Amino acid sequence: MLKNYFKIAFRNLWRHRVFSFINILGLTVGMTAGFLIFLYVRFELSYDSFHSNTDRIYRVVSDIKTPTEVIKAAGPNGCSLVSIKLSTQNLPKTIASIENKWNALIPARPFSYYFLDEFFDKQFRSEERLGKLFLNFSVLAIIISCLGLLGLASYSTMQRTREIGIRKVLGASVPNIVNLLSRDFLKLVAIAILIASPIAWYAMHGWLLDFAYRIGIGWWIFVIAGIMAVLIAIATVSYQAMKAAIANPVKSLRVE
Amino acid sequence: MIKIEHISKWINLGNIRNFILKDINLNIAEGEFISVMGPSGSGKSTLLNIIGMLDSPSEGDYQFMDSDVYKLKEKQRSNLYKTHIGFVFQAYHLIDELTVYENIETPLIYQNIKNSERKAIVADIIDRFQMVGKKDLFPTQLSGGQQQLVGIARALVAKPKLILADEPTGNLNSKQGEEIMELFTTLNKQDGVTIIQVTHSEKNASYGKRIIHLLDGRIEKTETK
Repeated sequence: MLKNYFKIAFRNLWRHRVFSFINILGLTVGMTAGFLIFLYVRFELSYDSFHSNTDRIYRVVSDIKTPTEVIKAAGPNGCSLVSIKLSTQNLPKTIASIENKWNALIPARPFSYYFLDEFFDKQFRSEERLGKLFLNFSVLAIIISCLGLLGLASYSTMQRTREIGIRKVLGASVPNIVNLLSRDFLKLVAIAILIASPIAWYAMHGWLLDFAYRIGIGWWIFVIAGIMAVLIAIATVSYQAMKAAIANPVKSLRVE
Repeated sequence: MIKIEHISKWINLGNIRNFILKDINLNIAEGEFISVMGPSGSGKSTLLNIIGMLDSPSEGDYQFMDSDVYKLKEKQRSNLYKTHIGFVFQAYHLIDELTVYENIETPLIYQNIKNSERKAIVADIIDRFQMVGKKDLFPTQLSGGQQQLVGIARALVAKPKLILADEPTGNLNSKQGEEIMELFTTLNKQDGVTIIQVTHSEKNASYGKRIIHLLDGRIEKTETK
């Protein structure tokens, strides 16, 4: 009994080869993306936990965030950070002299230093990395949804074979049919854009608030994103639609 | 109107050539009413599809209203076919998602006829077929005979010169079938529409002025009344 079910299931998969292939591929990409996201988030959240002797590592976090908080007067008791404006001529010598003075004043603390421009650079590099990450995941998300769309398109054309045949007999041309089939999917894409735009705006707005100097979010960004989504959807659906439109109506209208 | 010369169609199964139609020659004048008869698999429907330009033969020539069909460009051919040929099917082949009115309107949409004109033409034909009360119903809400009437109305709406009917009464009971055949006869006599129908029943075939018997892809004999 069970063996029979499997046999029939496989036969069905084989019969709709393209459709099965698209679905399985979509599922595979989706699951892979899911695993990747899970692993990546776990990795990002766990600071140094893959190190041996994890429990002996300590992380020191200061609540200094902006350069203005950093500027504080030097003093023997308490303050740990001093920001100094330096002339860039003969930098090594200047630093060496500062180190000497520090060691003389506060011998209990080792002297370490960094340049502010490097610090900012590091901060922006992490934003850049976030950007790259977002790009990768959004490409992945677009691929997954395109595969879904492709699956949906091939399924609905399969269901509408008879109607397409009738319309062709009644004089519909290939562009007529492609138009008919694509229109439904463009509706879906339009709805998706309407849902996605406010969410994207809200998220972007929140993220941009972190920056002192930031760009505005113009309406044209959403227009461009929408047009791109529509183009991608058309490219995805048009293959199936073309195939259905070119097919000979005699075959799909046979009754026997 | 129709001139078919040496038309053959075959399918290659391995090395064996399987003929569906073999060397068919046929002349049909405007205003004729022709019945095509023959057992299943004798190539009736294929012949009808070739005349209707839905299918193409493997070999042969076909002239429709003085133009060589196979030498025309795709666009010209589809124009010729859109304006001059109407199809009626055994299974009606109405679009289930559309109402009676929209079904009848569809061929006109594909001929790029203006909305106002379309309305007038469709209203006219709905009136003629006495379906005013049913124009907003869907095909599944109608009986088989009524569905076939809608199918014929749809085939006629573009005022074609030729109606091709593939077993139009095959799914109907004898009374409904008779009505359809009466309708065909009137169309043929009053409007001068050329009709070619494929049928299994002797009785329905006898409505035609000429009966062509097909057997194994050849014309076996032709009776003229």
